[in-house]
Amino acid sequence: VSERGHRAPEEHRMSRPWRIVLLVLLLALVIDVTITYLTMY
Amino acid sequence: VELPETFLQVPLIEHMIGTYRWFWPLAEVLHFVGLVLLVGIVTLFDLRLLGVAKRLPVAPLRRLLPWAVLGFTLCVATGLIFVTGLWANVAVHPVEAVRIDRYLQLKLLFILLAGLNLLAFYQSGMSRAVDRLGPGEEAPPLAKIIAASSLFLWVGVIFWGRLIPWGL
Repeated sequence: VSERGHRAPEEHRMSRPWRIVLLVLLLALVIDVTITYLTMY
Repeated sequence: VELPETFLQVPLIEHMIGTYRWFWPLAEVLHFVGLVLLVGIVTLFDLRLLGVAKRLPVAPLRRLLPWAVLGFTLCVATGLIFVTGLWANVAVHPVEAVRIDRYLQLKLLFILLAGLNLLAFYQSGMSRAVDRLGPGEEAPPLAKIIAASSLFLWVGVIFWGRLIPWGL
């Protein structure tokens, strides 16, 4: 981020923390759904 | 161990559920308000530790924690109303529900794991370490692992909670 608050073009891509957060959330849902499926019967 | 027939059954709560139609939804609303306070504030904390909104210092965020504790208290109180009220609601004995409902069991397990995770946060010294984090500073890797676990576990608690009726 420059002094005037402009972001460099490469910073417009998803930053690392957001990727980790989305990965954790996705993992949570996949694991929960899998456990649900495996314990259904 | 043989539990008495009356264990976890509260006649007053059963009476309230059976007599007043607003009682159960009110308990649900309070359960969700508690959930929002607890999981909302915990998630805010977890996100900051994972590196989101890094310009926020961590110590002032701590002032929100009493509200998270209030949320947890609300959830436990209303959760007990749901369990003790099962007989009045769907004619399943509360003890039987805890014994057969695998989703309720998973929810309780995940809450226990979230509690252990919180204990690890304090015992490992990470709590004090992140307190010193000023604007723009990165949390230690262990604090990030604990934050990610917390996020994972609370999503699970909500997921299993939503599935409880299907486990009965």
